[in-house]
Amino acid sequence: MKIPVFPVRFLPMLFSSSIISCCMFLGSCNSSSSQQIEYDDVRIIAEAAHPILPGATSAQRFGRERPVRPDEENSNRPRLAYNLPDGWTEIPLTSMRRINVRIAGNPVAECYLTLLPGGGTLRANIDRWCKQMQQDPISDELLQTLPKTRLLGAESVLFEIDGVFSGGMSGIPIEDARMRVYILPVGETTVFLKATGPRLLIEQQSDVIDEFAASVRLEPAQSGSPAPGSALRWRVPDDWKVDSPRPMREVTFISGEKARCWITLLRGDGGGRLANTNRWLGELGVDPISTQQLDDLPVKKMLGGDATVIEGEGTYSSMSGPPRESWALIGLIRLLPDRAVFIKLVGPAHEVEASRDSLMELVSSLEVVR
Amino acid sequence: MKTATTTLLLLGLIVALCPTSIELLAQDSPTSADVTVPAPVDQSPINETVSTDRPQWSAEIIQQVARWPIQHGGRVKPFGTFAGFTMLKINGKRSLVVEEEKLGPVQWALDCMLYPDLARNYECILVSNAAVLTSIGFDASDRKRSARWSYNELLGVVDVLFRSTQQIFDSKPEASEWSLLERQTVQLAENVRSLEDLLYSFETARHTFPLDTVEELKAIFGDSPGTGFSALISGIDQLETLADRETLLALPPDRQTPVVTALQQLQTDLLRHMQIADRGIAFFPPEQVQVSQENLPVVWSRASGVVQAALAKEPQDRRVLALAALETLPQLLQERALFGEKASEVLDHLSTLAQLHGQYKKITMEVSFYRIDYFYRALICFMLAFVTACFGWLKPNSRLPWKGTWLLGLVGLVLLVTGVTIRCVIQGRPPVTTLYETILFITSCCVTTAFVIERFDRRRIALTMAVLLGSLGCFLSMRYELKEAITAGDTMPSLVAVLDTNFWLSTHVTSVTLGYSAGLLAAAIAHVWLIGKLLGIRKDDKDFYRSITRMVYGTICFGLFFSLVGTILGGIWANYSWGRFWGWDPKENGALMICLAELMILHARMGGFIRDHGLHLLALMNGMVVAFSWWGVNLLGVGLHSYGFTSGILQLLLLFYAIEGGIVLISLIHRAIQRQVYSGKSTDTPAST
Amino acid sequence: MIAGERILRLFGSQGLAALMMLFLLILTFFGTLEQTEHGLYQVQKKYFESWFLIHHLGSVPIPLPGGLLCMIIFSVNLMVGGIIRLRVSRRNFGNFIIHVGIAVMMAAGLVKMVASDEGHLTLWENQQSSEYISHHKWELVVFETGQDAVVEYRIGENRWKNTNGTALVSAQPGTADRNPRGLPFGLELTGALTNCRAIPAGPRWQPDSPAVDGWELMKLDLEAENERNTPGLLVRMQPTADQDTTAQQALLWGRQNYPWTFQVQDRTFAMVLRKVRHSMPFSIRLDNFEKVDHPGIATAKEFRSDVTQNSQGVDRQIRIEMNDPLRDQGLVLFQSSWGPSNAGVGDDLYSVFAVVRNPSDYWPLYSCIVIAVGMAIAFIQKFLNYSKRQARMTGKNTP
Repeated sequence: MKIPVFPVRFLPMLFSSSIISCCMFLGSCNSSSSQQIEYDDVRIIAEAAHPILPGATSAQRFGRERPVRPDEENSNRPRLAYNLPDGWTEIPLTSMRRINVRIAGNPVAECYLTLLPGGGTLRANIDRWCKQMQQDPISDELLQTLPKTRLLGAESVLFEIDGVFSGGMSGIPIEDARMRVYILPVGETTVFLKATGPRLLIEQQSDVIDEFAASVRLEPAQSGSPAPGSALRWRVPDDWKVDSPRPMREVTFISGEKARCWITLLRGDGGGRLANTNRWLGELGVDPISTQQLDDLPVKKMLGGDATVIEGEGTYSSMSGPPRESWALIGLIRLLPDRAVFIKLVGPAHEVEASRDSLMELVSSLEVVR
Repeated sequence: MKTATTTLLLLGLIVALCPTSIELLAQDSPTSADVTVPAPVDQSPINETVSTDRPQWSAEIIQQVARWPIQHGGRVKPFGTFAGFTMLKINGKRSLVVEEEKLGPVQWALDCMLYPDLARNYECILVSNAAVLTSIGFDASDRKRSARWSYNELLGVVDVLFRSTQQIFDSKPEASEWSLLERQTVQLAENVRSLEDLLYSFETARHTFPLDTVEELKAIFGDSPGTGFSALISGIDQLETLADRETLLALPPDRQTPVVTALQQLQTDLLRHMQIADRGIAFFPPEQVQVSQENLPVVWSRASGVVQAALAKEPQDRRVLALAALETLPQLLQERALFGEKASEVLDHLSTLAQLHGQYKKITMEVSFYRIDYFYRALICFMLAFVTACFGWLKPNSRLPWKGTWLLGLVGLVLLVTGVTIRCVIQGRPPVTTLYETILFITSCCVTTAFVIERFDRRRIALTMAVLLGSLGCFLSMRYELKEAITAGDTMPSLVAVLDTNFWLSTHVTSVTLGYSAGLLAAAIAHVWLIGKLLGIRKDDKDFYRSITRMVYGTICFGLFFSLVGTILGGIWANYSWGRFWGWDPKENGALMICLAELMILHARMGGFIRDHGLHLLALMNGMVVAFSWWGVNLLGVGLHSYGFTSGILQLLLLFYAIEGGIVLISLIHRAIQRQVYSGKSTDTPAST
Repeated sequence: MIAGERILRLFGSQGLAALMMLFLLILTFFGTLEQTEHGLYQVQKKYFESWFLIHHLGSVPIPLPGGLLCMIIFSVNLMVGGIIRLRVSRRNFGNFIIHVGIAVMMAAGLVKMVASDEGHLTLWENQQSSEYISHHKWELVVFETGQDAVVEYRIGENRWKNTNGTALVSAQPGTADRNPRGLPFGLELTGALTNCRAIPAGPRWQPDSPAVDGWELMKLDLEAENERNTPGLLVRMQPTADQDTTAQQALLWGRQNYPWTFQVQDRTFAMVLRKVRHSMPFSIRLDNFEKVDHPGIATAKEFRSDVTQNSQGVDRQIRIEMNDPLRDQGLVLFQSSWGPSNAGVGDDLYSVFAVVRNPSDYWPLYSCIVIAVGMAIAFIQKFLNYSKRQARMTGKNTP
């Protein structure tokens, strides 16, 4: 019987190759304890490829990474900017109001900017405001001779009227009120900057309002200075994800399929707890509460103090979409000496309930950075 | 014998060429029924309250509706295809028996859309693993482990099902991490959602909007406005004027509040129905052709899109007509003749719109493709051909069975190739883009090559292999179609960007696939040699065995050419497209392994290390390598045990390996024994092998 | 002489070829299976770019020759047996051509392994860059800050990554063209870890590095996806005797927010551990990125980038899309992918380009053509012989 020739032929070859490979294997082992190496090469470039922080400590070098786009400074989405006069406070934006401020701290005096596509004719709007203030419509001659002023760098019409005003955010009618509106048609849209409040106050502040109107501008977002990040620090709950950044919010979280939670920071008291609570409840179709009831609401420890916890359930209607049934809200408001912190979790009722624990985790993890 | 063969022959030809005869022959035919044939009894228990007290759908209506073009899954397809795959996905089969009536996909879909109350009681939701139901708190103990349920039966747990699914998504964003139960739960949720979408698709068409609540609205819409969005669209301009600020303020003060309330009510109702319509079917192509240099795809709208376009005052006369015609259908259910006319009116409008964008050309072709069901008929032909081939082997001297085999086999091949070609034409790309298509393509190549070999060799070995492989291939394709329906909802899916290039698809993928077919064919023929030697068939016919050896060797060379060229072309494609020629990727490795195995066989034979027995053993093992490259590498990415369906493939693959491994082992042992025997008898020379 | 002849014959034998193919087949099979657990990069290094390895089948260790060894022996076998020693005749001319083609391909592979670079370039809209970043390789870089141009001194990972001991780098003298004042300090690199994390020093865990400045490195298991492995090491900087500064040490980590900066007399230097950056001879600015989806579903139909390439002062507008790359000056830029992956509708997207420098870019194409031609010749000849023999066979058999 013939012995298969296969193995015999290859013995010497296998033997030699295994010797070779053993040598290679051993050779790659680094047995010496220290060895001298050289720089591989030198590359000359125009500027450093890394941001330099001279004297950066280890903590700064290794600290928590900020989730930041590599190029945030170059985002050229224009934003509305303005110079907030002393004593005026910012209040939360709504879907209609792109700027929303309180004049001189007065709870019923406000000034806001809205954009309306189309926007109607000047006559139509003025008639409407006249009606709102319970006055008669103005004559045509008066309409033609309305003073002009500048808004956003272009010529706009200024209209002022006194009367009884009941259209404010607080819903409280003001007997002796004044409305001062700057109207600017821009292409297909009309920009309105409207100041309303007690007549005397508006009269007294008219120069300030004018200056404020003149300071409103469109700006490409912070160029040059690096994005400073938030004034707060938090720990993202495990089952939440961070959503893309939105204007006026410190951060937005995705807490469920539709549920969202966001943190807003405003200067001053941000409108106060009652107004915001009732606004939130109103979005859910829940009746507004009184100051008494507000004080009876539960509190939770947040940022070294007590934050009011507001909860509600109902049909959520906002301007951005159809009304949604069986939605719920858990909100927290914490007033700091110079700022107000708002946390709002909104979504379908079962999602909000399921996210309650994570929300509380988030609240506990909040810290002020600056 | 003769009569038996002739009967089989005639039967086969009838099957191949007549549409309705399939009905009579086979129970679970996957075709949509054209005529209502009294169906044989079905085993599943039927809910007592179900009654199909509605007239049955006529063949003309089914034909019209099947041809409605829709856009789904990224491409324009006939409604019939959509209904077919949706039914396959939810129900597991393309037919459903309800109280002695057999419903095909289009009928079932029409029932869901137009008789939702009836359809909710149809037991058409297949739950293959009752554990899915028990895990969401549903008591499934009165049925078998794998059973079909109706929507109404599951209604109580639908919410829980969706919540569980959401939890799965939130906790494990990567689908590859899901357990088998989780995948099945997600699958069930998707199926239930698809069914709901169908059930609610005509909801707005049956709904009357509150258009007559106040006088001002009645002035626009009349005293009895119709149903559906169309009623709204007919007066939408006037409605907008009414809702305008100016007009509202111009109203007398006592009218303002009621009108505003009525408008708000209307708006709420409209928004709700728009939300429902957003989940409906995209029937409506854009009214106008937009020429853009960006070559953007044409996006079809749902009914909600038509309403939005109406609100935006875009011109869309035909779309509005199409929508109106569709929404009239629920009212014509009792008058089938009128229904049929309306259905063809819908077809008319939709097809005209689709033709504007050049998207209707292939619809009729696709409808008839699915109706004729080429691959099923090819399977029948191949199976009959195999039976006649068996007769041929049993009675070696008669030539009639072989004639039958040839004829049936050729008819089967023609059907198979026609089917593959039509698929090619419909999709506008080579027939090798999905795993399902590779099954069909490989089967065609194997059968064709075997026929060519038979032409030269004439020993009927290749012929038998041809029809056997044809049957196996067609059968496998039918089982795999079910899987594609579940995962992709279609066997003609849209391609990801990187694959969307016809040149490389037709050269590289086709070449590698041809290489696969040749490898499998060589392995199949090698079985004949090995099993023949094992069983001692035709021991003394050396020519017989020698010709088999030549066949195998030739096929391997043929396969090597295509495998090697195909693999290198793949590398060149990768290098051209994304800069690396070879990345040691599992699919690439699979192709490389086939090339290496076949090269190894050739060199070992040239060097004299293996002779015939070795060649056939290695050819058989090469078949295992091909199976690994074709199927095995796909299982790796998903995780071997995590997907219900791929675990089915895995089991099949392991079974195949076990059988093949067994044959190899037995053959080796047999040979060793033989050599012992021969070396014992020193006077006899070992039979030359 | 006879022994030499024998060895030559051995190296050129078909049996050796078959054996090497068998080994490569086994390696490929095991390598494919291992990828699911250990990731492509590690498997490639262990199975296909190595001399020797031990594969564990369950708990059974199987020693195998590495991919590199097999391919080298295979190539030698090919040259000796398939080309040099092959007596070229009409009969085996086809085979000869095939072997030449395969030799070209093996050469292409060798060139790619030795002389090629690849990486990625990620740009948001309106962002510009003239360098690409390696996917897997790391480097240690030292440079002086506050100068007009930045002179980076680089050490590749091969030198410091796998050392069990210490690597010493000496001070660099100044050179007129690059950096007149040189680097007046030596470095000592120790404790390199392939995957680690920087954590505040604490009593609760076992440190894998000395604690420096309240922080230390913790070793982590290797990730299957190699891009996520982040190295770290300890560096001690020793100024030369004439500099009036004390030695300093610091931990370097691949994902640190800022480089480590230190002062030597009046000069400030920075040191960073980063993925290798290669300069391109031109710059690319992303003007517009388009992602077109299939209607109604989330799969991308196509995506493409419109870029401006600035080469030697000349601007060129170019479109780069899938299957249509930019080839210029030895570099090839492919549209590879985009992100961020959780982008919603209307969010800004960034475009990712794959950049490759490969001198043997076209060689596989040439080799494919050569192989195809050779195979066609060989197999047509074989087939003609076969049919001639069959005809004779059937001619004999029919009465």
